[in-house]
Amino acid sequence: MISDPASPAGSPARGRIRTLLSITVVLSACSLMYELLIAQTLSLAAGNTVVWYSLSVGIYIGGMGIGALLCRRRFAARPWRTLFFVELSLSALGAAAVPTILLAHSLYLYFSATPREISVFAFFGVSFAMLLGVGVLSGIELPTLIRLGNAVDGEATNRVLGWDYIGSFLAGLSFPLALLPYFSLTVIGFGTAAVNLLAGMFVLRRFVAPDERTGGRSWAAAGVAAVLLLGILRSENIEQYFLKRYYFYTNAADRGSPFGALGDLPDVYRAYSPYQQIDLLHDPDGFQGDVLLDAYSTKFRDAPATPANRILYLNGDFQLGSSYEELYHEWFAHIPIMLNGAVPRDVLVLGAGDGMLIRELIKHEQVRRILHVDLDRALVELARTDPILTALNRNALDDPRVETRYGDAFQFVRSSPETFDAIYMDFPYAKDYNLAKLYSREFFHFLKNRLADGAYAVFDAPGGDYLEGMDAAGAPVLVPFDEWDIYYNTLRSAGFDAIIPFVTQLEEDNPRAFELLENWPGVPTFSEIPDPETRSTARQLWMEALISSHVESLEQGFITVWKEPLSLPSREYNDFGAEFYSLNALRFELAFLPPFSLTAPIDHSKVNSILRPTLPVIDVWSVRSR
Amino acid sequence: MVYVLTFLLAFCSIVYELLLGQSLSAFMGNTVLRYSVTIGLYMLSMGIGAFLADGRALQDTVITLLKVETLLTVCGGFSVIFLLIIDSSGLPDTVFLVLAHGLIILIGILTGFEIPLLIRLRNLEVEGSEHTVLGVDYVGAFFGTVAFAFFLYPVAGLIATAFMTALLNALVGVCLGSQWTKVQAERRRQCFVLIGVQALLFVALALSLRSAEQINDLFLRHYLAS
Repeated sequence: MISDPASPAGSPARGRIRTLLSITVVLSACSLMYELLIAQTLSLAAGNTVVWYSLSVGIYIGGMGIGALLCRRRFAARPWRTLFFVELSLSALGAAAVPTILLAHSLYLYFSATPREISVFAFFGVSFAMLLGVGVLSGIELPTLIRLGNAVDGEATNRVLGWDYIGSFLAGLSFPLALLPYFSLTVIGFGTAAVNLLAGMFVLRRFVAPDERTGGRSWAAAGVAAVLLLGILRSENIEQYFLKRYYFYTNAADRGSPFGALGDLPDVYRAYSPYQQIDLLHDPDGFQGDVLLDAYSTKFRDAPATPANRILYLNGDFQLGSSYEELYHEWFAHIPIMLNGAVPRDVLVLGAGDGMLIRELIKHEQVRRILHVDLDRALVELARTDPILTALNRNALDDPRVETRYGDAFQFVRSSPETFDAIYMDFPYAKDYNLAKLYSREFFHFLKNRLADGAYAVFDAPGGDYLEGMDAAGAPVLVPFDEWDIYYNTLRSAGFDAIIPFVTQLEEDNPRAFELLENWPGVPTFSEIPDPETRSTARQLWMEALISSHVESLEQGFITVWKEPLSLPSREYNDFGAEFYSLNALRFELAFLPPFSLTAPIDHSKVNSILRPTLPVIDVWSVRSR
Repeated sequence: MVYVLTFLLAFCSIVYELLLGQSLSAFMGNTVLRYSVTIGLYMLSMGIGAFLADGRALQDTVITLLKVETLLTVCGGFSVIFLLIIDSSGLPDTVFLVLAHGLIILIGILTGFEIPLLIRLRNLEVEGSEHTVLGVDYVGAFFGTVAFAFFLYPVAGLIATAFMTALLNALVGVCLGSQWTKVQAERRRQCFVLIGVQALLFVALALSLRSAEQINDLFLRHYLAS
């Protein structure tokens, strides 16, 4: 480089290299931002953050390798021009990536609800193509910038590389801390693309325009800019579109509408937090078994104003349905108390940010204090202020006995010096390594230290398929599935020898259920069957099948553990003065019917540890659906 | 040969980073934050490493590379146990966070250092192989992420993965011995000493891997008692 002695600080070469390095930071930050956006979109659509983050980085880096190789062969001649084209394509592709993956997800769900099912690999193929595209373009970007740097100042390679890496770092920091908690992924994508495009337009005007005509390219850039602006302005509509396509995909399939906006269905309320996306849904169709709710719960008779068909989802996973959540929370809260034979005084509740479990616990006057530890302030605030959720949890979180602290449950059980008479854990299911930690040997070990003498802990163990039919003798048959083995062995390895699982199991011979169905227009009349006796048998069988599937769909498992080897005072039904909508003595007995094996020796290969997780037990190549 | 070594080294480096990201996530929580920061820091420190790799270090290619690999094997192989000990020792979380991120940066810098050295090593044989070395490096990184996500973490677990990866790394170190003809005559002695160190590390890691289960339990008990 020939320096200009007249003005060393303001020499054109020096100014140029500074401009170039600034562009480098911006462009590399944009590139990594696209990668993180796609990784996060994939994690939410397919459900295992660690797998999708790792794999996304790999594909992105692989794409960069291909881009670097391509760059050497093809784009060397006019680097500024190449850079502009790369940035224009990157901003278009980067902005399109999130909506495209969401669209592929919604189409996958749509077709899964029709006879024309499409392969899950079509969804992953589209997603990986996006990642690879972003990777290849980013891979062309860096050598081009280096070449440009070296053209200005012979030895700029290291500086360009360095600033490129700094840009990546800035993106890695700002994505989880400043963007993800506040904006939808689509908006972050469009915003990043806009910044990227501005850098591209700057390159065009400043470095390409002086040497050649750029009319067509300016128009192309202006076109992309207009789309981005429109996308940002209409971001709420875009968000609602994809939310409804996700939550109402069966409605869409019924209507045969693969792309419709489903505008007549109620909007989905969505809140963002640093930890999750909180969705509150009003599903006007409810679910198939709604007609039977009254047979198993008196809620809508005793409290007719209870909001029906409201459903809470966290990160797209079901948390609770307002029409029948008491069938879950009454079992969860009270059966351990009945097993315990006494109401606990000091209670620790981990998770349960929706407040429903706490609503059950404060029914007992003997409960003196509830320490509630939840990670997500946004969820708890919503549960304290949202009219639907407060109608459901009856402002339980504002009860003077409840103290809410925000923090990580794992850190709390590990570091707190306190002990409690009972600990309730109500976390989302372990669909992710992050959540699997809360079902780990380490967690349960620390948990045991938080239990006072004679105290118990209880958590909900996923699985709607504990029971499947009856054996020849008429006894319920347990479906041995992996997760029960994992919980059992993990709890045993953490030192819990006294384990009692129970299940929400409703009676199928409920007379009220048959009465409700008799008057329900949904039951087929079987008018094509001429013989009235066969007709009525067919009707009877149809109703039995409906009741059976309803009961099965509401099955939910829980696991109670005691600090000491078991010497339970009772296994008797006792409401301790609390009033229930659905729990009764019969259902209490049914809860213990499943023949879980509680004496098997520990199988260490099944133990879930933070050092070697055996949860989640989900197929990596599966797509999340509501 | 250089390409094979490059592939394996890239594989090892990214697995170390994912191990650290996952250890952070397992001990401190918040996966998305940990992974994003780990990826960002890794790239940043690779940049720093690339900055640093010039002058004399680059001249003594094989020797420097052997030193880098020795450090990487030690830092990577014992990283998880080291973090587990720190987390069990009752020190404030800040200490853990600083050390864990320090390790991410250190491994990143060493990896960034590695690439120019490998390019130079290859260029001693054929001129103009930068892009191919880089490409192979990226492919190795891709396979590292796949192996980590689908096999290493869920099947082998954090501690055994660290041992296995470092074992591979030490093996590469020993194989670097095949490049001894590229070392100046007066420095060959040093070269052989370093290869000997790699061989010792290899044996130590192989033994550790054989008793990974016991080591896992030992440190886990220590952690649970904390």
